[in-house]
Amino acid sequence: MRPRLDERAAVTLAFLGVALLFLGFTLRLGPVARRVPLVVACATVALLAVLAARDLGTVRARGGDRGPLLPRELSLGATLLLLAALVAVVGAAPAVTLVILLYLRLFGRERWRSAATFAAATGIVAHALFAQLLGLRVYDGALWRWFGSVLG
Amino acid sequence: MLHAAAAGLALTLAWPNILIVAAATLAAMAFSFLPGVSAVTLSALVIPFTLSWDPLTVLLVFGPLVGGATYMGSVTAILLGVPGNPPNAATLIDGHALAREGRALTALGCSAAASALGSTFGVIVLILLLPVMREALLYIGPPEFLMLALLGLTTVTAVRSGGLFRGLAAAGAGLLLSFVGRDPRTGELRYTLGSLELWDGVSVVPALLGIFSVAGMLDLAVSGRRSIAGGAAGLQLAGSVREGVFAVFRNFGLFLRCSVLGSLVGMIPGTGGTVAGFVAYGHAVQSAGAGRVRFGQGEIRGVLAPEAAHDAKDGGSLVPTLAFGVPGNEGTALLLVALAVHGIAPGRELMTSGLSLVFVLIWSLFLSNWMTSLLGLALARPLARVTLVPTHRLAPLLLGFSVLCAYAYQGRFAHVVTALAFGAAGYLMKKHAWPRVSLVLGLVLGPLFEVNFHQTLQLHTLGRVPFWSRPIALALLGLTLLVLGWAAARSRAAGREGR
Repeated sequence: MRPRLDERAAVTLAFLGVALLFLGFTLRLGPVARRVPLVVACATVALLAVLAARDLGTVRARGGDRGPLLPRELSLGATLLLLAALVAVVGAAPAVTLVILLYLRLFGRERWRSAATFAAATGIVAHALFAQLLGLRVYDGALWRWFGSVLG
Repeated sequence: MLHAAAAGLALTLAWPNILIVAAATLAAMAFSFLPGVSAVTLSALVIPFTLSWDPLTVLLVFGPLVGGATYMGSVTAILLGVPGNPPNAATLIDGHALAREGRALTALGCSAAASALGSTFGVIVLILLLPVMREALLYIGPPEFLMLALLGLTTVTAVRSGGLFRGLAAAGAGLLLSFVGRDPRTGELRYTLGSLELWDGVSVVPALLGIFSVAGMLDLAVSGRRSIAGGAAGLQLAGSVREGVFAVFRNFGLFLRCSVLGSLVGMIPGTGGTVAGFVAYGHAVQSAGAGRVRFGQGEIRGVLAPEAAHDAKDGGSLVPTLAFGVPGNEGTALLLVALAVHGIAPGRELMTSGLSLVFVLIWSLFLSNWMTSLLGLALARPLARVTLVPTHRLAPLLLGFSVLCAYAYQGRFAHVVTALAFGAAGYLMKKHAWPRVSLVLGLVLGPLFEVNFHQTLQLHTLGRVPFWSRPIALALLGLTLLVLGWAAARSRAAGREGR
């Protein structure tokens, strides 16, 4: 059976791909701007190529699949994307509250009531700590900005 | 000078001045406890209020803000695996490993003791060097900065996780990311992909929040552990604060060496605590002999070394600030702004007629460090209980606070995206044993390395400052080569053992 690419080798190859992209962009820079980056990019690509060859060799020797991304990891990745989207739309504090609520319910298997209480308390404490006590900015999101502009 | 020192101490301890120091320390502790939001943020927020204060109050407040509460950043690094600020990243390696073993109390005790004693050492160095600092600093220039950045980068060889090749590749990736944005010499845009947000480069603090905090949350959520300290089977909290404090005295030689390293690095403007912490960590690994195999897996000396260096650095960083008006870091830059607002100019006059004011700053920094460490020791047990909070509650909290801190850092949405993107990458790195610390080191030291490389090359080519005529730079180069040689020999020996 032909060995499949395992996750460790795939990650190394992905890093190699990014380093190659950097190298490609570096070659398009002016002679002064690329002086140091070119040396670093070449060295990094060489190191990653050696590591990728070594990791792929290990896969062949083992002849199997190892460490595929778990469904839980993929769900957590989706949570990160959802969080970024919610922060952009409804603002940081409501987004954090919503994501904590969903996380506690879906991953923590807490009851709706306790999850909602914990999430709401976190949102209130976070707002009080950042905005009121420390005087720091908390992102208000596109939706509230739009409301603000509509209401004048 | 002794008279000025005594006058400064009397002013600092006088009522209600000591209360001002205590209040500033508590405020700095609160800010330093939040990852990404440091006492530097507080300094920036405080400056407008200082307009109505007298110069004495400004100095009493800025002592704690300049470096009084840095220990709190290490608390989050140890307990949650989230460095409060880049300089705390070196403490994370072994500190968090100890917390995961249930020995958070030991790590916190060691960190507090090393921090307080390290800052005391830094203050003593500062006092001793006050008369000669101006002359000494004339010998530090771009070649020395360059070699120091290089020496800092070689400490990736001391980080054992993932092996030497992965460490170097991760440091290379960190350097490449640090080149994003405007070229320091020509202003040409590099790797910005047409995005305005990338013109200023990849911001270190959100990246750090992502690599450690968001990635740590993902790791916790996937691991199945019931809490940071307890495995799936149960909850436990072993070790003691006393054990950690005694570890500093058991390794007093290492403590002294790392404090000297920290003070020396701190004196060089622009290098900061990250270099000090990692250089000290690298030294601790290299001097550990057979015991070095424990580093990275919960070795108490891996906590002691960066903490001592990091806090000894604060005294050192005031040397160029007060003598030349050259800030050693962001905190001292803001101190200069606050002093300028009140017409206090650093330099000869401040170092002669205003010496008692200088000592007020020194004593308030000293007292603040001790207050933070003593309060930290008193609160160690309740703080350590964070490591027993159930994972399914701690993980989303960590994620939420990372997002809020990433935005609060500079008020930019792009920083939230940066933190989340680095979080995903950091998780994959952690899962597959890539040393994340090496990436951070490259990211932090990249600008220092590149700017000083260009300046050194230009000065050397023009014949103004021939590189080979700089004894300190040559000594640092020799040290770098020694570290690399040691790493290569160790790697070869490990390969032979493996066969």
